[in-house]
Amino acid sequence: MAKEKSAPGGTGMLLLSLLSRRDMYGYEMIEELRRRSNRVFELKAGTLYPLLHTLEAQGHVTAFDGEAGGRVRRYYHLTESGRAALAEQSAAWNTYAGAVRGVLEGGEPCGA
Amino acid sequence: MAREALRHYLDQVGAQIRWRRARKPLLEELSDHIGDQARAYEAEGVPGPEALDRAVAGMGDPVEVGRELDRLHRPRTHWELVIVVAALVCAGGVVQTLAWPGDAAYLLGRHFTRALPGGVLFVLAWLSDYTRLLRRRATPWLVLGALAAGGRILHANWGILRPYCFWSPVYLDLLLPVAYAGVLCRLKGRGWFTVLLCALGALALPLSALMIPQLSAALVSAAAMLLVLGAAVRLGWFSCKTPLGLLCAWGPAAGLGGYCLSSVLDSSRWQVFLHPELDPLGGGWMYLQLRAENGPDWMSGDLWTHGDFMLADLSWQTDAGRWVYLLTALAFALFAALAVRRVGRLHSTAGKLIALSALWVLLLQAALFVAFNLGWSPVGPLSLPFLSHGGRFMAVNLLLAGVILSVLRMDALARDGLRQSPLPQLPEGTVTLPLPGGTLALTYRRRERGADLGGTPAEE
Repeated sequence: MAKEKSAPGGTGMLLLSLLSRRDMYGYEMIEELRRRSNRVFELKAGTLYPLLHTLEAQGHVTAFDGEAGGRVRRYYHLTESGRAALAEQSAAWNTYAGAVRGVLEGGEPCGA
Repeated sequence: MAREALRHYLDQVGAQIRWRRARKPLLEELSDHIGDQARAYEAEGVPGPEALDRAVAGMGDPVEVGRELDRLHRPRTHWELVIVVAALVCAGGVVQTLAWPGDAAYLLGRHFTRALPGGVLFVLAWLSDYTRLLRRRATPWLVLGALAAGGRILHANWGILRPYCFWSPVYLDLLLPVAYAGVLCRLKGRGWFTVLLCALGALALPLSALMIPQLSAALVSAAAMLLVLGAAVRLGWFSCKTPLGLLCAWGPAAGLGGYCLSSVLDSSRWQVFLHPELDPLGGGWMYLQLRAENGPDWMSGDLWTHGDFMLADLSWQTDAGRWVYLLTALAFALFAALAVRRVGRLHSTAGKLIALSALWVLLLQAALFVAFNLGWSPVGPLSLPFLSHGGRFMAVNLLLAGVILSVLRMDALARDGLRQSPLPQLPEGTVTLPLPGGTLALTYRRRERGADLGGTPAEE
């Protein structure tokens, strides 16, 4: 399951992408993911936090306490390692998505 | 009812998390999330209790969440470091029996008896939660102030207090760097001027050690603090350019050191250190003995079991020559390599600073001890960490080793302090932007609770 989440196009990549724009806390991430995916990705909190803590253990994100609306929240920040992982996964995903699109649209294979 | 559901959910998650210290922060994060979600439902018109019920229901299976969190949050024990420390303590007993042949049972008994309280402190520090030092803004300042003031009071009254005092102020000076690192952890992003103030603080704090006088303790303490400050700059802790930060961190020490050296360069003590052959029967005798290729031969007469010369004595007794120093340096290099490797992998920068502060005190003591026994230190040693038999030094050094292990153990729960909200904070006041045909003035003021943001754009 963890492998699936950290694979290109997995939930891990989506979270890294959200954090590449700004630091966020858990609830913000779920809301932002829902909004930006037109409610396609409805991530459960029970899935989000273990995944965030896994990314933290891998060094892709770091956590810090920040204030939001007078309350202290645990914010997550994308590290350089996380940025590199995101770039790698995005490239792999684009290759994969392009290949699927090529098959679905029945295009001519390049270099054939 | 809704509150019951929330409590029941958190209890079920918490029951799966075996590490007691991890429960509170993890459950707090989940609880905050539920609160945010419930408020969002309420804003959509859902009544309060129902909103909370729906928020709890949306969290997923508590047992599965708890198990996942438990798997990710286990205390990390680095046994290799524990083994190295224990091996060094044991080696200390062996070294003493070889360096000072005679009553081996007495020497071993003395060494391990004195190591026992240190061992208790080591375990207590190792299992403790070092993040308590950083949780409240004032705590590191209070600890640093207490150590500095305590040291100063003891130093000033040492003549009177000495018969009644178990702890010499020297030992407090060795703990200063850890408290100092705690203070640095509260100064994130404060820029180069704060680095400069911290550098001056590092030079001023251990000055009281000179009142005994104990120059070695002051030097080790100040050097450890300045090295931690340099590490903080390198890690980007102060958000200033590294060359400027390092100049602010080490510049004052370099200036002060240069001034002191130039003023003592012509002193007889310094000249004897540099050229002991000028006074071979007086002050230069000790340096000549220690620097001799085959080690000192002062023990050909009376047995001298002064702990400061433990390595020199071992070198002479075993005919091992310089190998003694090489092996000692290798043992501490192994300890340092293991510790630095682990510390480098920590997620928390604050944890790195705390661990490095303790590590530097241990390594600087070891370096000073080896240099002195080789005859190349103008100041006396403190102790060879874990190997020397002094009970109080042993206690302080094992306490510092315990602090390093505590930082490594608690890393999964460590956070780098409270930061400002990542949302952009506009300064209060007016910003005037030049535009073709006029200027645009934007006025910002902080929003009061319940009031609208008062932006008053005006074009002239």
